[in-house]
Amino acid sequence: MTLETKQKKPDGYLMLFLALLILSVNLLLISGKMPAYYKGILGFAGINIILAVSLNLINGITGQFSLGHAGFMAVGAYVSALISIYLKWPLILALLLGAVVAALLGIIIGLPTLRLKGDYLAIATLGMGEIIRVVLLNLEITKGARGLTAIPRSTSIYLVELVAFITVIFTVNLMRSTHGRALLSIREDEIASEAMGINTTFYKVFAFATGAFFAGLAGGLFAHLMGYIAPKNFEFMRSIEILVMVVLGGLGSITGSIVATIILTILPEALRSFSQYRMVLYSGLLIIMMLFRPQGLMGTKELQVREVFRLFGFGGGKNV
Amino acid sequence: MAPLCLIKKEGVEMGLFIQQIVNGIALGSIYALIALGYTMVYGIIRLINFAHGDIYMLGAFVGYFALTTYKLPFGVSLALAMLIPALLGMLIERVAYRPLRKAPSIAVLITAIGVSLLIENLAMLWFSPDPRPFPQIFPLRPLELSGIRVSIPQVIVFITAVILMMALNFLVQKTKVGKAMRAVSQDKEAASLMGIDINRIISLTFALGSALAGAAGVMVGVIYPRIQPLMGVMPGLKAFVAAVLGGIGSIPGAMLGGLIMGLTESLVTALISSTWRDAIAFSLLIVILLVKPTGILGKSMREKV
Amino acid sequence: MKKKGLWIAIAIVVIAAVVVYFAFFAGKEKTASSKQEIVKVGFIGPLTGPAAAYGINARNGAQIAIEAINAEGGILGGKKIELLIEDNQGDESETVNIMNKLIDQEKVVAIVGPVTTGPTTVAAGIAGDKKVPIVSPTATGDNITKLSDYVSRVCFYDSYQGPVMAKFALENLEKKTAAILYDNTNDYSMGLADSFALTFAENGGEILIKEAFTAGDQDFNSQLTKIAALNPDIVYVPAYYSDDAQILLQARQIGMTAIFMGGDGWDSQDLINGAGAAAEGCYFTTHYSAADTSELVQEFLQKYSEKYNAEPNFAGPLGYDAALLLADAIERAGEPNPEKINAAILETKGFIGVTGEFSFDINRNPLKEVTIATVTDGKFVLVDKVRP
Repeated sequence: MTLETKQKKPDGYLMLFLALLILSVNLLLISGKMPAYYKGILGFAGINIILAVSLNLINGITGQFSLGHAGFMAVGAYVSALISIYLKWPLILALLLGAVVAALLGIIIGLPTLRLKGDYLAIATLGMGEIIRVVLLNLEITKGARGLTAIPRSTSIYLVELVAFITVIFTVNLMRSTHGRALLSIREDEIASEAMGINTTFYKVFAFATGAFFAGLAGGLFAHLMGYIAPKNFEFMRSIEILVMVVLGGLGSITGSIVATIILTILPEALRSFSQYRMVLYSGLLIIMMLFRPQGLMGTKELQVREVFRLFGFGGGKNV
Repeated sequence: MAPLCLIKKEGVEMGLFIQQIVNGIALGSIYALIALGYTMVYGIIRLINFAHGDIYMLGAFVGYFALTTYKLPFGVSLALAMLIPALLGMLIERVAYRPLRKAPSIAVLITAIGVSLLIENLAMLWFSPDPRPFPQIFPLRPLELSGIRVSIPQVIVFITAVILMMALNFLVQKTKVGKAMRAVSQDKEAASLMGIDINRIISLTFALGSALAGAAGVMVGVIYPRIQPLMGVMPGLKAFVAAVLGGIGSIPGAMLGGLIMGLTESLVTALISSTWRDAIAFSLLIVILLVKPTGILGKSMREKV
Repeated sequence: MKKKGLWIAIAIVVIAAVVVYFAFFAGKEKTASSKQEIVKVGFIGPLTGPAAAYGINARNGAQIAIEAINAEGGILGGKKIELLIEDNQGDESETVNIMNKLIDQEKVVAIVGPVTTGPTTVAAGIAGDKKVPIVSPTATGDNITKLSDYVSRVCFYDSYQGPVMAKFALENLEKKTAAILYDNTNDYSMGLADSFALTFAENGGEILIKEAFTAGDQDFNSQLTKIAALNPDIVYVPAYYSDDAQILLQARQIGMTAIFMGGDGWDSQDLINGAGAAAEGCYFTTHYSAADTSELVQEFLQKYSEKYNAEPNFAGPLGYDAALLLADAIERAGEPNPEKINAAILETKGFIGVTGEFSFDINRNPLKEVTIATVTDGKFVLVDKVRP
């Protein structure tokens, strides 16, 4: 078996296509033709993209198995919401501070736990997520299970799009950089990359903290979109949902994460009329998907426009 | 604050303390019973079988229907509650896990999560999400020994867990099948070269683990007479923590981990506050993993280059 | 093999896309052609997930009410009400999507729901933005109706029923010490615990200890052992019936003799089925009594058991009342216009439902009698009706 370590990057056509897509969506938004229902779904899809891409940085690109992403999201959500409620700072500052606190927590938790590997790391991060939730349930300032109400609903759909865009661009560029290659080498073989002189601890914690930062941002956006957050919004199942998006799209594939996230955000809406069977279908789909294509929709590949054309029978795609 | 109260009235509080230890052991033996199945499956194919907690739930429901709808005697119901989950465990392994044996471990884990969600949601469709009262088999009146209360079902569960642990340990350590299991867990390829049918051994492991989970389900129904489709989620998670704590793959370790977990929860409630119980249980797990990642009784394994 | 997997993946994507297409766009013409003979009303509640027992009961209740109204000729001179039922799984994000969908796509004029407090908090903001009234059958969080003028409810709120029980314990039972065991993952349970504790302490009682558990816990021995050591007269357990039944059983097992009390979460036949003799002599506050001989109550219970072959928990009659109140408000509004309906809801006076007669206070909370019930010989018995 040959290792497909060479990461393909999204090509220019794809970027153009995405830019056109975003532009047309925004034209629809500005013109006011888009019903609030679709706007709402778009908002959730954007937040999920931030979460999935940032988890992909930890799980897919660096190969560190984390099951506690909802915990970081919760920290970002609570910190930014509390700042908005009590200090009344502008939204951007609240979001950034929430994300920074999440990143710091990522460093504090990452330093000891990232010594663990595979399943042990998974269970430790799972435990960490649960601990964060219990702390939120017990603190006075978070109001426990009652949750925080009256958070200003100031998240606009444009802001969600912008942050999602920044997250994707940052991650793609990171992957292309020296640092990105260091992260990939840790995924492929940690011992070998350490032997090559890569400071694996630094890079693992770096990936963990960066992922936590973006998860915190997503949490802040979520809090200011809903206007209400409670610890039960950040339960273990939330982490699993994000993980499923990443894995379905393909670990290590940014475009894969985006495609899977969009599908998994819209699919439950489309299946709403079968709400009784929705979760059954959803979990069944998950199993079938893993059985027939365990590497996810995209594997570690990125979506290439010429390949899409080739699939639909438009020739070899060399001169697209 | 709270611990000070304990010192104040030593005579009374000592009894209270011992009572809490008894409570912890009773709770811990249930975690242990579930953790045994986890540890066997993980030991042999390195899979966190997320669906294990749900198999335990199905065991409770099989027992419930056998006892109420079909009015079968308790022994027969218990046997059925072990047999049906065992078959189901084998089926799940055959359909969902076997095709992925060479896939990355994260894909198998996701499948396990999918299986778990599927069972939970099918159960909610079929059995309705409402909790049901489990028929009371044994008298709930507790035995009293100088002020310390133990109920009969609690004693039964503890003894069952110890017997099953010893039986399993005997099976794994002393019998031919057990030898084959240990061989498969160490090196699948070498084991198959030695003429061991790996698939059969893995199937058998799932059957055994699931039968234990089914038995645990009925036991829990007996002690805490309430069952519902999501009853396996939290105990499943905690039993897994217990298995890791004791050293995953180790049968006495699962027992030990279960008891530690139960005692910790009980003592945290007694000395600090029940609101912090889950957080402290998971903190303990993280500390153990950092100090001795292979758990208390686990053998340490070095990663080879 | 690799190729095959890829094609299957693509097939899944394509199927998903087709499903999405039909779900989103195929039904688009619906709103334009919707006949004026139908008035659309939404229902939002958890029909799956952990809170499903309450959502399903509330939905059943609402359906019975709507069917009865339609069978008697409908509203507004012959228009039928169509109840559009949506499952939010008790989740807040789902609720946002459903609110948008019901209001923008389906053009409902009002909504029965959501059932639980968290989703109702989120729905309140949207209802206010879009000026479409929502009537929650069972969301008891104190604040929800203050979040927007378009939110009302037919159940009483947490700090309405907690004090009733505290005063009953002090004055009628003459008990002085209490312990509280509540579910700290549940806002309802916290709200009741706090309001009970406050009133109990203010009126001369003493709260000895507050212990917590997590919904769905099986083992309560540790908390109960701790409480039993302090020997309180009363243990207040404001939680849902299936947890309550477990707590009662385990408390009696360890020989506790204190009087156990709770809130409307206790009101289900399953409490008695689950706890058996352990439930004897307990008290709880609730919305109505199934033992009430009034025609309205008995008729509702009969219809419910005929249609669903089960006995409702407390959410059933509240769902019924919420739908009934809404239909009445639409009738009084004179046309299916959300803002007029909301105005009519606010003007509700002397509404008579299964859970009693009530009018709204300035925050659109019902001012109604609280029923105190007890368990005697395996049956719920009405003790008193109190108007706080």
